Formats: sequence, C-alpha cells, structure tokens
Amino acid sequence: MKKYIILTLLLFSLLPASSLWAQRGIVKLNAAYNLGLPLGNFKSNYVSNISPRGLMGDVSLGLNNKWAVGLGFGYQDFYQKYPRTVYNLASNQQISAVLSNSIQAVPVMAKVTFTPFLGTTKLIQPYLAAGAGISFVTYNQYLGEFSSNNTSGGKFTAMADAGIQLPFSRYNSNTAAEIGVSYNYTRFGMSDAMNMNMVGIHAGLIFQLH
Amino acid sequence: MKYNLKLTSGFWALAIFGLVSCTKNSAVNNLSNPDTRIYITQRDSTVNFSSYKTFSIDDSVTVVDNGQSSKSLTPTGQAFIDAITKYMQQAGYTLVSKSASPDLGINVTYINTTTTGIIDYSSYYDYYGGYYDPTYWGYGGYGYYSPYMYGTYQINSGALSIDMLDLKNAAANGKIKIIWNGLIRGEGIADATTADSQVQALFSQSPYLKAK
Repeated sequence: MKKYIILTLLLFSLLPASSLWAQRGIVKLNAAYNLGLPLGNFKSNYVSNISPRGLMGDVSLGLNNKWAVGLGFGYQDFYQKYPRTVYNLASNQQISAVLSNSIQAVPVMAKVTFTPFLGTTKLIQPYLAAGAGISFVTYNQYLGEFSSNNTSGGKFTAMADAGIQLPFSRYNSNTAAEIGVSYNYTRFGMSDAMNMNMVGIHAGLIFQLH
Repeated sequence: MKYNLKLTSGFWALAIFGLVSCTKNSAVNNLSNPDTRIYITQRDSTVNFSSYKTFSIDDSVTVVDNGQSSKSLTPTGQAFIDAITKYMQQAGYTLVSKSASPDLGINVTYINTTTTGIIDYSSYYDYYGGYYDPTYWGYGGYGYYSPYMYGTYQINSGALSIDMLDLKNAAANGKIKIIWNGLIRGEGIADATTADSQVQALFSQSPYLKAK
C-alpha cells in the first residue's frame, strides 16, 4: 500500500512537468561559451584561425513544451596576423608590412527554439533553434600597427543551431547544461567575399529566470 | 587569394603619415616592435636607375620636429647612414664625396612630433627646401620636386624618410627631382642595432635600385 502511495505522489509531481503547457510562460536564460570556426570566403579571405573568444546565449519565453521564442545574443572576436609581405600599392609603390585582420561581431536576434521532448523525464533533450537579426560588426585591418581599413555597422545575421540539453534533474528540465553546434551567417559586405560564415561550437548552462 | 588586402590609391596618402586612425587596440598591442613597422618605397617610374653610377649621402640626419629642422648625428643616425651606404654599394653604386659631382644625393630625415593629436605633414615636401639647402648639393637656387604625398596622422610617432635626389639631371631639369623615397614607420625605429635590417627591408623591396 505504501508503495502505491509513493508512486501516486510521484505521478502527481510529474504531471505538471509533463503537461503540454508546463513550459508556457517560463523564462530561461541560456549562456554559453562559443568556439568560432570560420568558413568559406571568410576563412580564406580574412581569418582562418579558430576564435576561442566567444559567447552566445538567449533569453527565451516558453510557449508550450515544444516551442520557445526569445532574444538571442552573442560575441565573437576573430584575429589573425599574417607574416610580413610586400604588397603593391601601385606599380611604383610598395609596402612591406605584417598584416592583421581583427573582426568582432555582436549579434542580437529574434530566436525560436524547438525542443520536442521538453517536459518529459528524458535526461537528454535534443533541440533545434533558428534566429535572425542584426549583428554589430567591427572590422579592422592593420598594416603593422596602423589601421588601413576599418568598417563597422549593423548587418543582417541569421543562425541555425542544434544540440542537446542535459537537465540536472529528471523532474525539472528548467536547469540544464547545453551543448550544440550552430551555423552563423552575417552579411557583412556588399559581396559574398565579405560575408562572415562560421560554425560555432558552444557549451553552457540554462537557468530559469521566471 | 590568401587574404584580402584592400589598398586603394587613396590609401597611399593615408599610409605615409595619414593612416586612417593610428589608435592601437588589442589586435596590435601584442605585436613586437619589428612587426609594428611598415616599410614604404616609391619611385619615379620614368627613371632608369641604372643610368646613375655614383652617389653621396648627407653626413648627418635632419630632424624635423614639429616643423622645425635641425641637423644631428647620433650613433643611431650614423648607423642608418652606414646601412644606406652599404646597401647602395651592394646595388652597384659608387660612393663619392659631394664635391665629386655625384649622380645621386641621399638625404636622411627623422620626422618627429611631440604633440599628440592630428598632425598635418602635407607640408613635408613643401618645406623640403627649408630642410635641405640645395646649395649643400651644389645646386643653389634650385627647387626640389617630389610627386610623393604626405597626409595627416593622429598619434605621437616618428618616421624615418630616405630621399634619393637626381643630381645628375638637376641642371637639365632645372630642379632637383626626388626619384626614390623610402619611409619607415612604427615602433622602435630609432635603434642603431636594427638600423641595418630596417634599411635592408627598404632596399630588398626596391630591386630596381641597380647601377647595372
């Protein structure tokens, strides 16, 4: 009898979490460290070095147990120094310099997250997310210590993200660790050569704010 | 293309002294002194440098400090003069005294400012005749001519300029044309121990400087 009482209490405790709307209205903060891997023209033309200086995250509002919307944000700092080379300014003008490219991006975007098993007791919760918005990009190219080219401004950005959330408790998925891989695109310039493409590998924590 | 280098003709005016913004940030704070330096050379493309055989070099460095010039010969200045002499001779030119009618004259200038802010050096060549009396080279009354540009820059920084003068054709031209300029900017320029390598950088990117 005692076993049945315990089991009943346990089921009652699980019911709110497993109901379809258990996540509705729940506000979460997701903060993660992000490793940025340049791709494509961005890699070949500007920076090929992996950026270990990055953050990403979001504040999300649960719509139901599967969908959440929110505001995503991030920061990524790319830097690469190329060996001293002689460049032609004109046929009769040459400059020898160590060239450095420095690019910082701060994306702010609307984001939607799909978590098919949220609200269940699964300890591995896959998710998919997508977002679009504006990235505030600063680009500086240096010849030696001198800035030769700089551009900054808000640019269109979009991202897709997939990974898993690892709740710390089988019965409360609102606090969890998260690891994932994202693809980020930022239309930085007027040509494809100036677009920033990167893959981000991130790991972080999710907390319930409200 | 390994990486994108966007340099336009407008950059030249900026590059010499008018770099867009010389404010350093974390991207360049970690550069070593040699890596901070840029070496810029430009030449008169109508000139055949092998038509010159002899040269003479001013025996002191002219220091232009906030627009005022003075002559100086420090061990560092001497190291630069020695290095320029060495690489000119390696290029096949013969060092002669300035009284022996050299084909080429070489002036070395250290341009300095102690003022932080936007400095306009567009007047560098405008006042060249004030810094370098053409009488020194035996052409009193002649003016200098340079197609090279200087702009503005925004930090307290020095530059070393090496100007090569066409003395061989000065009389025919009616002026002293500056047919080659080498410019060094960056940190730690005024260092006797690196003078040779700095001058070597200028000459190595100017393979057309050959007497034969």
